[in-house]
Amino acid sequence: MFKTILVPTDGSVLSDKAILAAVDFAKATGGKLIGLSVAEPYPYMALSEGAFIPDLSLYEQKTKQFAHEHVQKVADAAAKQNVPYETHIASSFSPYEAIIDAAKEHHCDAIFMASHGRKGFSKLFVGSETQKVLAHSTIPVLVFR
Amino acid sequence: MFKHILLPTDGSKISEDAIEKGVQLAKSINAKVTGISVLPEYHVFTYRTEMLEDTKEQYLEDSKRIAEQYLAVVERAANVAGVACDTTYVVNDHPYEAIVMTAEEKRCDLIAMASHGRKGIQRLFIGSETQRVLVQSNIPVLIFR
Repeated sequence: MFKTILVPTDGSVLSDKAILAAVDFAKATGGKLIGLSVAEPYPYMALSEGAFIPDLSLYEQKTKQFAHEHVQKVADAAAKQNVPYETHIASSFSPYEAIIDAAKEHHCDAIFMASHGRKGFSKLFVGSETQKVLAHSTIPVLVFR
Repeated sequence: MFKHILLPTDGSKISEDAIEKGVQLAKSINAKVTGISVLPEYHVFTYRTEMLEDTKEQYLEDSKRIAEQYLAVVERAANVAGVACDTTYVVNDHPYEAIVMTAEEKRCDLIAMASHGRKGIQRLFIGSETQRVLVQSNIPVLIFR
């Protein structure tokens, strides 16, 4: 039924759960996966003359590296089950926007994602990015708790 | 993979569309479904005019009949698709509570429901009961737009 499933991941344990379920599902139904991780750029602010300026390029390099590691998990899980997949990285201050854009770009027909990510407090809430994806998605979203 | 999917319905058109999709999903992964309809409790003080005109017994009888109509939609869709199906209705002022509890009782492993219900879109990004089910559920929730 879902032929192309978008699996956004931030590397969290709950994301891993979503990845495994997506792989299982795609295997059972002959679908394919699009793994996505969104790296957030360094929040540039107006810095005064004497302020400490961290190495911005190193920061961005690191966040991209982490994003690659996160989507590698999708690749590994999919490859293990012979499920066709692609992986992508995006750089955005708005992960939910990058997720929605990726869903359109890759013609996905469902999104499988965690209910909250690293900042997740607990089961009492739905994470802010998941909430926004739910609000803006035009395709079904399967939320893992 | 999901084996038992709970399909809540409030009788709205958007619910009916979600049921159709939920049944197709079940078919694609050989899962069975349970349809559930939740009706509000009888209250003497209420703005619900139809309730005011009834005695409690009459109201409960009418509710049962309405629930059965909504659930017949689930049964019909399941029969046409060849998906195993049972249905239940619960009287509870909080649909989300009945949905989450029923999912637990019946050992469902997925809840599949519409993003909005009878009250329509109403400038909410996601319906109030769907939101509550999402937050309270211990199992994954699939939200159809």
